[in-house]
Amino acid sequence: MRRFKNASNGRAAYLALDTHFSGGSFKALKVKQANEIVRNTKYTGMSASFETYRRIFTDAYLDLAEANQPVSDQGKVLHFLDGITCPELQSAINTVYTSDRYLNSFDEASTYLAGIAVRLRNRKQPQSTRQVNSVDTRPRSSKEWRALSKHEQDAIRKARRNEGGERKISAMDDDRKVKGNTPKADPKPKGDPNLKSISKFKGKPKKKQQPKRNVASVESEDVEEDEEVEDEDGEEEVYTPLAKRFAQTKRVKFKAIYRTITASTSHPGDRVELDSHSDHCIFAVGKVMMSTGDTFKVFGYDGKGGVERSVSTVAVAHDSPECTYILMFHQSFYDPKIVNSLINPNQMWRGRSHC
Amino acid sequence: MLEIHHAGTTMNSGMIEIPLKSRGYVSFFDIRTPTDEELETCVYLEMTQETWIPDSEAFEEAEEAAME
Repeated sequence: MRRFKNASNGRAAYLALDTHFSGGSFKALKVKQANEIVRNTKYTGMSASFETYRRIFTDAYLDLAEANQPVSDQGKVLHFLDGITCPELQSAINTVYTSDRYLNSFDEASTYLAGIAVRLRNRKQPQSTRQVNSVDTRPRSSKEWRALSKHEQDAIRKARRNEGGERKISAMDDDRKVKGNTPKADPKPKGDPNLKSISKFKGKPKKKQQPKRNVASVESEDVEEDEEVEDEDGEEEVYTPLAKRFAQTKRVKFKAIYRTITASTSHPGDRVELDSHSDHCIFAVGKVMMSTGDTFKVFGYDGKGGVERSVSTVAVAHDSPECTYILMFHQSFYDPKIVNSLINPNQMWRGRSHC
Repeated sequence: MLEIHHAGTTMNSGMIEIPLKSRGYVSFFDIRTPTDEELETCVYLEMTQETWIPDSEAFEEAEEAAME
């Protein structure tokens, strides 16, 4: 503009600006920048404003439209969802994926997600306040203890008493369940009265005295109504009514799963089954493209096995009538020894696929 | 039917469907190990994301938030 300043030639200046900003190179630059924004912008969590994230995408899509490269509404939504890595919003993202209304309208999808993000943010704030106000019962040095006011000391004592009481109830309950009779009253401590406080910490139940299944400790108050149930192994277990119902439900589920496995084993071909009980996708065929370096112990439904496998991206081929697709499954396991490959539909909902 | 939303590039997006078969109540589809040539030439579809924490409490919180 400097060269037009001395001549005071406004028209020439305007024409130069117009040529510059509507020129091919400038447009190409804008398109490149907008595409980079769309691909690389991420919304990672509640600390950033979702509105800002939404505005960035809206501006990028407007830039692309101005450069005569408009993006379809579904494309806009998919790229917008791709950038959201915040786990709290995954349920809402799944809703968008499965709704034609949201999937075909960027405005509706982004408004819906913004609403959920605001609600999640509001929910989080009071929780942190509650944590600050709760009584901190951690052990303190005598110096720290003396620094507290009388009121604070009383509150901590009360909280500790409550915690200690709960522990005692559960310990007694466990003890009674193992022995199958009511516990005897603890004998009063003899000798040095200072030992009384130490004996509290000795009261922790030993590991071998724990009941076999955790479900037995679901309810600890209705002790009179407990029933003894004979396990399949012939061992006696004590269940509260609630725990018994829970255990029965679990057994039914185990039976159903067992049937699935039995049905599957008769078809050990190369196929992958949908299984929402599987925590991760796991493949008997395919190629490992990369590993994250994390390893987990992989158990069967019966809880046996426990083979260590690394979390990997597994590629498998699927032949459709039109062509062959390579399906990439991130966060999966590869184990050529398993009979059936399993994919978890819930894990896929987090990606771009659903059934 | 398994629907895969294929974003591809910003200009090219669409949906691919994989028909599911079923034996009893078990749904499945056929897969196999890809060849090296297929890995170089075929279309890639990302089925899952790179982050997955199956026991995350975030699922429960998000579910509750959606119900409000």
